[in-house]
Amino acid sequence: MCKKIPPWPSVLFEHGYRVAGIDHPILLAPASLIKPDVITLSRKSNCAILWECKSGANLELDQLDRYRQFLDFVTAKDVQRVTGIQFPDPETAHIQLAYCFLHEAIPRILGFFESEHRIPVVSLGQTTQAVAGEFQDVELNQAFRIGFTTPPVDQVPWLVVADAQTTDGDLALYLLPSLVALIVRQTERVTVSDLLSHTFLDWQCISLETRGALNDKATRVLKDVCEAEFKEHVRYCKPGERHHDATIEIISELMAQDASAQTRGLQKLAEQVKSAAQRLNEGRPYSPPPPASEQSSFRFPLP
Amino acid sequence: MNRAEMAEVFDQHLHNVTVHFERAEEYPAGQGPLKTYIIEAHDLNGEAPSHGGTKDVLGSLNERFGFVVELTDDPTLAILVREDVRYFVDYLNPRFWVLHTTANIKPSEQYLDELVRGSWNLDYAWLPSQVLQHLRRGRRFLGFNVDFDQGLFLSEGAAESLQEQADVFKQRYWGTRGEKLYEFLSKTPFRGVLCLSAVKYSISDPASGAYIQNELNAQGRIKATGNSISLHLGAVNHLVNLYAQMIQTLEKELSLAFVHGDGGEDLQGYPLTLRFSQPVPDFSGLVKEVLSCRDPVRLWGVVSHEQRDFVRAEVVDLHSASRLRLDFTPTHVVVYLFRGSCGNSVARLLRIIQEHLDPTTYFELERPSVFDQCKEA
Repeated sequence: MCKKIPPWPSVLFEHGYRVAGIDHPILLAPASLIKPDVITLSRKSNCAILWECKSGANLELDQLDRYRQFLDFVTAKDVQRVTGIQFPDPETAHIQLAYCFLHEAIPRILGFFESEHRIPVVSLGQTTQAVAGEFQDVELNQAFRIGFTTPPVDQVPWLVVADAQTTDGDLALYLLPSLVALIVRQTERVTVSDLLSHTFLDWQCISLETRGALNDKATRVLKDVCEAEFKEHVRYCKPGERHHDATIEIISELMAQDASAQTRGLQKLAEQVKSAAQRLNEGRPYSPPPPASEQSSFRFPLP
Repeated sequence: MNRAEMAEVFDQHLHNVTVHFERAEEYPAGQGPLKTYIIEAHDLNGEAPSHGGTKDVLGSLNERFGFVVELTDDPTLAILVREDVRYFVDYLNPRFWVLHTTANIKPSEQYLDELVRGSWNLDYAWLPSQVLQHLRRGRRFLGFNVDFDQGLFLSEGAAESLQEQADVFKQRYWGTRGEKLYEFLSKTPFRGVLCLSAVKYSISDPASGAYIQNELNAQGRIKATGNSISLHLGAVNHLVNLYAQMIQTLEKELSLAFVHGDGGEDLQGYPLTLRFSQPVPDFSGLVKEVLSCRDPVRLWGVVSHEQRDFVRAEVVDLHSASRLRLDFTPTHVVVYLFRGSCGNSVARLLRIIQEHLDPTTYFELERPSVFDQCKEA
């Protein structure tokens, strides 16, 4: 909604809102933390909306309590200091929180927002619209009240793909194709952080904490796959004096082979990415495929 | 050797030979039409190359493909030699090379194909049907080829009914009044299979009697006969500039990147939707073939999300080693071009969709662009 991508709705974009941050943690009190999924900022209305986007059917009540506290105590200046987003005029800036749920979840959660008009609730479905609360931005509120048609939500353009909850297997599915591109290009080496920033378009918008968590997770996943499915092609090098970051060295000889061997090797790599992703999601260790002689041990029964 | 001398060689060649394009394979070196090719190139580190970078790329071809490189007096012109085939490589624009040869078509295309297929940083040009149609406008139209075959995107073992319904339409018309025939066909149900794969046209200067007949195919190859190398080089220059503009437009418009702006992180670029005029007959066949690593698509990919009538894949273009993401549905494909990725990947995918699925699919960009002028009748 912050970008004009027909046929997808671009209501936030049209009202001047842009992505200002992803997954920024905001500390309310020593033991109380909120982490909105996305912060959108309109310079025109000097207003930031912090979005909590829910893909499941349930609401986390303790999280909602923390968001209520947030609205009671936190100012735009606090948000600017903590997240680094820049309001045109922090003194007069507004901040607001909004929840976004899939349409199916609305009947189950709507009751929790009946007495909370400060938090608009957006229902995402064939028609996307606000079903509770009010946006402070009057024009935006009007647009969300009327609602707008939306294509199937599970086909939404996939621009923001990773967060701290991304599973090991999904991370492998995104990162390993970037590694395959470097194998084809016969690059000598790449650091894990470079691989992440090339793979995730939104890398610079993600909070430092989430980037750190993703970097740690990616390092673990890549080390595992480099020593397993991809061991013929790459070598994992732990951080050292030369490179502060973990590094992947490309040792593959795939592209030195003839064209048909390359094609077969690349097809095999695609299969290996799929099996690595599945294995990591299931938490299984790698078990090498049986040697070719065992694989072809089938014999016709003797007469 | 320099450009002027190269032009003299070709001028002499044009005067010495008069051949039928369709019999080009029969002619030994030096007797067939002059052939010119466009090759899209990246530096060995994947960047758009400089002149210096191109020399490195050319230098690497000896070991890998047996091409000997001869430098010329012009720092943007080199000669590649393999056996009795000589290609003049004009890299005035180091991203889009122009290769000329007078050799017999069979070995010259075989060696070139080995070079392009075996190099992750080289690719042919991929001209949409609409652009071929545009390029012959204002010139004397001497014929066309159409080539459409839905077989590529049928799964192995696809239902017999699907195989029987798959359209195949291949036709060559060489002669005058080709324009009328093409216009007539494009207003009939044949429109859905009318994928131009080559156009033949002539350009002339009545005052001097100079003329050139060009047969341009969808991979940017021009076969030329006539008596004016200047007219040929002018046509080539127009083609290569247009193609460069096309690819750079795709990259400028579509490359996805979050850029820090006044209002926060602004997403530059947008995913491009390639729409089909009717649902794909074999959806899984389309997905499987596009991600198969095989020619002609040459994309590597893994499916990251799959449900009924929707597949999302993380993709690598094997002709530029760059990253893409594709969303497939039975009615359209959405292309996400990552920052720094190559627009030629998108041009190739569109061309293959036109040849094997729907010739009417075309680029629909958000802003007016070079593609609109090519589409206008």
